[in-house]
Amino acid sequence: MSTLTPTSSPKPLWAKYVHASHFRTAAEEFDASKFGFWLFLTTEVLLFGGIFCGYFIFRTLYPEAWREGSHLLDWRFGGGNTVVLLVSSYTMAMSIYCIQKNQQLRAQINLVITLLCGAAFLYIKLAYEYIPKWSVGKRPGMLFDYPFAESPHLPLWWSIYYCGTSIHAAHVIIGMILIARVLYRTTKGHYGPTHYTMVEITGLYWHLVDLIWIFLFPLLYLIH
Amino acid sequence: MAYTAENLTPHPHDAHGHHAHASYLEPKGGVIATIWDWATTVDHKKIGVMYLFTILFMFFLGGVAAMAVRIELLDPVRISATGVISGQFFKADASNINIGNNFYNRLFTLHGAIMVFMVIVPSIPASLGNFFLPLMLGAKDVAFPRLNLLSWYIYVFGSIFAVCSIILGGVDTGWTFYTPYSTTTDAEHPKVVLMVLAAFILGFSSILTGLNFIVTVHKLRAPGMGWFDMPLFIWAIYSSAIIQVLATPVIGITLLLLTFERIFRIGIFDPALGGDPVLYQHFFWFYSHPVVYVMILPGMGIISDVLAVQSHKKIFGYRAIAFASLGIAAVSFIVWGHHMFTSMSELASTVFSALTFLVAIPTAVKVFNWIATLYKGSIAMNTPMLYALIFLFLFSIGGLTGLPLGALSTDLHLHHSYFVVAHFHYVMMGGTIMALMAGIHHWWPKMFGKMYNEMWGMVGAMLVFIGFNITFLSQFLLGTQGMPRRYASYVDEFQFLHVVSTVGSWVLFLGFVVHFFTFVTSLAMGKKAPANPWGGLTLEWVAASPPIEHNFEHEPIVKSGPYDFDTTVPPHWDPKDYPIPAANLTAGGRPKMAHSPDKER
Amino acid sequence: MSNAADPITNPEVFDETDPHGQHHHGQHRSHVIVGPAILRTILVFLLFFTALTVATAQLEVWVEHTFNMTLPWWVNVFVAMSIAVVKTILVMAFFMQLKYDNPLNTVLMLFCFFALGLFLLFTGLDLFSRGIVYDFKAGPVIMGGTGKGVVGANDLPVTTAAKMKFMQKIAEPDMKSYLIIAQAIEHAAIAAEHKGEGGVAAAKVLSAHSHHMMDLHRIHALHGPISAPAAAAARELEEDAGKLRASGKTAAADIVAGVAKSLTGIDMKEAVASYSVEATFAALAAVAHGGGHVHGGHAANSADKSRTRSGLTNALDLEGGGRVVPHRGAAGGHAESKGNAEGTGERH
Repeated sequence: MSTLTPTSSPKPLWAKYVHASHFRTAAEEFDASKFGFWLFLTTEVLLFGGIFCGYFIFRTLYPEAWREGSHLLDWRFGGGNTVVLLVSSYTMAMSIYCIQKNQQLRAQINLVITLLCGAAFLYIKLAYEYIPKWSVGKRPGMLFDYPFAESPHLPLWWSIYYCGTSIHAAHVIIGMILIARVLYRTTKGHYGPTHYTMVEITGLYWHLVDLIWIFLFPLLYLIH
Repeated sequence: MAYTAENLTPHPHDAHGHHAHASYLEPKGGVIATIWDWATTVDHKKIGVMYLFTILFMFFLGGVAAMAVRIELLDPVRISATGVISGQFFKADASNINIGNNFYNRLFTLHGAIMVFMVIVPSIPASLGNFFLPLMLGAKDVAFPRLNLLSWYIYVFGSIFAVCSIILGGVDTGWTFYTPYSTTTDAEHPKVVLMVLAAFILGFSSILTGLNFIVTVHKLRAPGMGWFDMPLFIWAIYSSAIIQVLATPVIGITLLLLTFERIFRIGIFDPALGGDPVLYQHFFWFYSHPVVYVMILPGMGIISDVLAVQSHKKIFGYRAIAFASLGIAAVSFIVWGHHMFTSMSELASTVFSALTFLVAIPTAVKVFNWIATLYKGSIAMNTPMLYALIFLFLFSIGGLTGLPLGALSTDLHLHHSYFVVAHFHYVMMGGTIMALMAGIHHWWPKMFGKMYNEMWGMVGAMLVFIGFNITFLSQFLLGTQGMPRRYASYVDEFQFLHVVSTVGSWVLFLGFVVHFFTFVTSLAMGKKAPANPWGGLTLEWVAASPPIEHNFEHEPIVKSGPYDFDTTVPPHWDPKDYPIPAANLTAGGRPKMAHSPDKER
Repeated sequence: MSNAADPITNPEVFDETDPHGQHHHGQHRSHVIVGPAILRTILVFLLFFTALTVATAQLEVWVEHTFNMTLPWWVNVFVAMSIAVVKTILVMAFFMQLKYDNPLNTVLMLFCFFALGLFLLFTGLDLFSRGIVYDFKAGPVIMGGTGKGVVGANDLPVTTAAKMKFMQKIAEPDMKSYLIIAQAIEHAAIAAEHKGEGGVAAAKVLSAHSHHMMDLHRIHALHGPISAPAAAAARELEEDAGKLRASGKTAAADIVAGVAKSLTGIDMKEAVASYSVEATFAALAAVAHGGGHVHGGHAANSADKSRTRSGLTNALDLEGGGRVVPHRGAAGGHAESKGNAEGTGERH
């Protein structure tokens, strides 16, 4: 006996949602989708696992290069990006809450803020980190051209740095595309208290992106 | 006694019209409409069939490459390949050797890459798994049907990438793409990068299929079907799906880093820049070892089902086999170093060697349980049973020859020799492919509603068996005598065995040709198959042959175990379909119970 | 909260009389709704832990400096990773709602981390036990991995090659004259500081200008001939002087204008001839390492300023004295130069 279905005449799309016929109930479909997506998240974790393994191996082999490399990074930008992503995680979770309460406009606002945070992350990364660094020669492997290196293994540090952060940035972009799609469909009324699977799943993906950065930040920026 | 249809509430109003009761193979309109229907289908059965035929086609391509490799190896020195090009067959010429070796390298890479990534890994899960997982669970489809279709398209897309790489001249790095060769080989970027990207893309197909299967098994079982009421094929598919989900992303990142290393020279695998090529091997084998269990586990699942049904006997040690499947999946993650004994430190090699022995335990449990299943069973000698017996024999050889390879001291001599080649062909081909053939024949009536010619099926099976053994048994001997793998030329002493091996490959090929014709004639003019020709008890035999679009008329409810032959009469079963020797029939024409009456459990 | 036997609130109970879920038309059991209060609290905690991570990193540096010791490497890793794990648990449990979800999802993630752990463990087992080698098997171990043997590296480590390339670049006549001018302005800035109130203001402007010229990004980006650096710098300084005059700081403006005039009087030929590339490189290294970026016009804090300024000055001092400033701008003393904008001495 749900009081969540609206009483005004044209039923919004979310209230008219019918679950796929091979599931017994919509609840089951929701649970299955969530479980399936958690499985996918494990694959993402293991994907980054390769990077973390490489980091772990090379940090142990070349600690001076890692120390020097970390000093060449500015923790303020890394920390700023961490804050940005944490806030965006919060707004993403809030948007799910708003959808569950049928506060459509607030949900959309939260999604927009999440998108803006993602864009801010990418902007900080590109404008204050990648471009300044690349232009002075702080590049991976054989592309390395920075004249003031002390440790001869510094190019390897940059390889790990760029691989890790660029693959993470690619995931940020993918997350933003998913959020944009969800935002668009929210404006069309697809999601509501009884049907918000896609919002939930996009939220999970975005939180994972945040989690990866939570690990990358101290590992890359805070070595002493 | 029989479960299913009678006990259920009536089906809700059917909005699908008359097509709801037509078989899934029934075309929906003209040619274009049918093609469009198949291209956009989310029906797991159609997707499974598409996978099956594509995989068999890829198997043919990889097999042709293998035949070419074996022809090259007929002679110790002569380079047949350039002989073909220059028209001077069987002429040894020093100037040709480099070209010939290069071509040979591309050939075996082609064979390996196609067989591993495009045939064996998806072979059983994507084709038979897709088709039968929902049917065996009593579900209408897998959990995410559209994702299933996406998996299929990703598979096709990745295969096209691979084919493009081959057309552009092919890669010569071996299917393992070891650094530093793969990052520095003269082959232009596009070829290596394309092949690597192909494997990367195919990995996604594997992940999504595994994901789909895990959720389906957890969420879509029929009412009354607990975990231990599922057929063992499902347990096997489930275990291999876990491996697919956990291991495949690591090959993804590995290939991505390999691409960066090749294009940008980032240095993580390059010792000159501080990296480590063995790190690449660790990354690569962390996936590639578990994936060999993805290859074999579904095959083992098929064998469990085929042996039980075709000997009309309860599987021996159901729970042991189920847990052994999970056990193999678990152990598979901690043994990958045994591919790298000659690259790693002594300490790590010792640890990995010790851990590798663990895998033998659940595997042996399974093999013994299968043999015990056959004991006192009412064995039907038909093609599936024949293939299952072939599997038992060949897989045991393959598994046992894994032991000298897992033991560190002997592996140092056998590494990279033909012994390894023979070993993995015995397990991969003698294991998975034989199981695939068993499964195809066992479920052919269900999938296509037609029977195949039993005699020719068995002829094909025997040819395959004989040809296979001639081809690969000789390679064990070559390996222990010192023949290295991936060599186009060799010393004269090895020629005899190489010729034997090549002749065996022709017999093997002939066997598959026979099967090809069996399949084609069956589809064209095979006898109509009954719903349950073998008297199986699992839910797929409840469905029609071939199944309707929604699999079952009414959602089935499970009221007996999957192999309770001693207490249950199979659904839709007619003894005339399943000829049992008269000595095993009671007076009333029903089969005698497989166990003696005074030894009731 | 949920009635155990009711299929609506507890879908784990299968209703055999209704296998298709007909009776309740797929209505949801009450999904857990994580409220804004909890979310906000968690966000605050996460931000706190982020600050804590940074603080502990700074703390380690402080401890090392104060007690003059080197903390073992694992302290940094262990502390940082512990905090990261706590943050992960918070995000997973509350933002991703694992706490309120089917426990299967949690088990799945734990399994995943376990597999990752196995990967790292066994790879590390190999990579870090390589040193256990029998003497009779090993040849001499040469420390490598610097890119020396790589094709296209001119048989130099990558980092050294980059250094040489850069030094060649700053050794070019155009770049030399550009840097001499920058150094001259820096000299003038130091000299101006002692000239009272107006001098301090002038010093700020001049120092900013020279820092702007020494910006590594700019130096990298400079291609082609730098036409008449003295004249260009003089022009810009004239403009700055005009701005100072307009804002009422006439003393400062005079000093800056004076510097601008004297720039054009430098004997470039002699200066270029006696110029030291190595010293300039060291000075640039000091600028690059000390205080992070040197964005145009951005004055670092006074400590950094004195470090970099004295580094620059020491290194670019053309009046002799052979003190090469070590990297990181850890120059202790003050400049020995006479602060003469026309200095043309030599530096090794």
